[in-house]
Amino acid sequence: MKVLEVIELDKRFGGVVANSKVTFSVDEGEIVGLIGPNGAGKTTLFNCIAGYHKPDGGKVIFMGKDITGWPPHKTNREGIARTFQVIESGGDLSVKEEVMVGAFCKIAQRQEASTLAEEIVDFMGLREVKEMRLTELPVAMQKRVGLARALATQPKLLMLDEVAAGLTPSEIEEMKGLLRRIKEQWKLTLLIIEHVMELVMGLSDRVIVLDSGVKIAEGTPEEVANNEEVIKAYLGEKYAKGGKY
Amino acid sequence: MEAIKDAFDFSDFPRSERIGLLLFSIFSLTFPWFVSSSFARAVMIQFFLFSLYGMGWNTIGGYGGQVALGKAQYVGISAYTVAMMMILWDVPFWVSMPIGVILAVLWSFMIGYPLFRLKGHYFAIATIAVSLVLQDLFRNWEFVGGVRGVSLPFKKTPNFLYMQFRSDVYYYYFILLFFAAGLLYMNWFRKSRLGYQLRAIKANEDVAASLGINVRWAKIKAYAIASAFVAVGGAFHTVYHMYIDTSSVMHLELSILIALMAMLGGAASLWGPIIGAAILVPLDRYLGSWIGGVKSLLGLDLVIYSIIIMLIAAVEPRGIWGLVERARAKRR
Repeated sequence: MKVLEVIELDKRFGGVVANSKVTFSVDEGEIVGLIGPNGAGKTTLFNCIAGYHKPDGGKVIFMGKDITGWPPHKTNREGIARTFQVIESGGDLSVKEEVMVGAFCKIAQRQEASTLAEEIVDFMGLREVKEMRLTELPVAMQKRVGLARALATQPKLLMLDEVAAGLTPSEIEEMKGLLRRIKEQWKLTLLIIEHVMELVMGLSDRVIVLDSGVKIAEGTPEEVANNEEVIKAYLGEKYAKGGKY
Repeated sequence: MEAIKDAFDFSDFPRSERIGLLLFSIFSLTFPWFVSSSFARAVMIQFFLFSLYGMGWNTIGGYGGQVALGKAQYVGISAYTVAMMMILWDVPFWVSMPIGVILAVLWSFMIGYPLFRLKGHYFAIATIAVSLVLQDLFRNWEFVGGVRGVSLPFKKTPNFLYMQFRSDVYYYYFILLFFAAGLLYMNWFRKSRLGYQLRAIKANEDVAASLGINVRWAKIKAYAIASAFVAVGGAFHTVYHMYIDTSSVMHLELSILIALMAMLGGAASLWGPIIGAAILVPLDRYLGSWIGGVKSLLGLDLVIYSIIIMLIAAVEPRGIWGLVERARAKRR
């Protein structure tokens, strides 16, 4: 069963082409990595799927339903949750309350929402800090809160935008394990944007590579790592196989 | 059921605050017994009325972080509804008040829908503009008395239905009742789904939307609740003063005062608007009795309000309650 299908998606900002005819799909229970150099259009693609941008062309199909151009709160209600590259919150909410907000997405009763939030707070190892504010926490904890509140909306598809950026190697290992456990526990499908190769290559079933808004490769982590186009995109022409040093 | 339990449940506050609330309740209930000065009673009535206004503003302005500066128009709509229905058709207060509130809420939807396309300062300015236009319309509308305003017809005997009493004790207890209902509602509201959603919106709208919150609709709902609160107050204002005109119930100064009460006391806290009103209402009243009619001529009250706004912005944006919480955090 296909959870997400993106068909020939186009997005332009004025004269800049951010995404051009991007087509891919994500199966149920899969972990798909989305990589590419800076400015390749990864976050734009996320924003088009989640409804922060309206695509200029193409389609986004979620669970068989055409959700192209839906606003973000609707795509979320439908079952797409996302995290943000920079976890920012200038508010006065505590960690527990942040997760409560997520839980209130599908639950109207406070008591029930609180129970779910507690469960997720425990699962994410945030019990110790649940009364603290986001701004008082280290980056690794902030990322976990971002994950926790997205999870609390009870999604089917979880889209993570650079969840490992800024983490130390040991924190990256922890995050890897955590993502696996989350996926098992809540039977999720994951789509991950990531620059940290240890995470994305170690975790993904399949990797999609974007460069200048175009999909240049797709396959298992090994296939992609040995793909000439990909090496060219990342390291430049002269490092690709057969190139002159 | 859960909602009612939540409204009466203050258990998540520290002990000192619960004792404070208890003492305040006893004080409010017994106040008319040991103070018979009509001036002091009038100040207390005004205090409860403005606390009610401030609590309403706190929903959209405090929890939602949307600085609305046109709340006086909703006070005015319901005040004029009550007055005109009593004058034209002799409709009792308890019938015209709900109608006034409904009209105010409907108007708030009509205003909120387009205005919440704007954000931040632009929204604040737009609320002022709409409120000023409405005030000008009423000022030039002969049917509602124009600049002269309207007086309510006196009943021969005190009448509960029309809220006309000889003694101000009755007014005192009625506004106390509205105030208590408002406080309980707010105690529920801050723990409700919408309460949480508004705080998330204040923190970051993009994140809020990613958590399934329809940002614009949540704001419109909160704006409507705020309007209902001030509309109840406006209806009470009419029967208490027996006379209204655009400068008493629709003036920009009233809008600013409503927002200022909540901001001074502490936006997004349950006690904030009450603390703010407890400071500003007596200040305003004693200032008025001290220098008399010159007050508004000198614009002294406006000078004081401006200084307060600057102090809040510079020292502690969360107002007096923010200072209290900061001191508490330091002690820990």
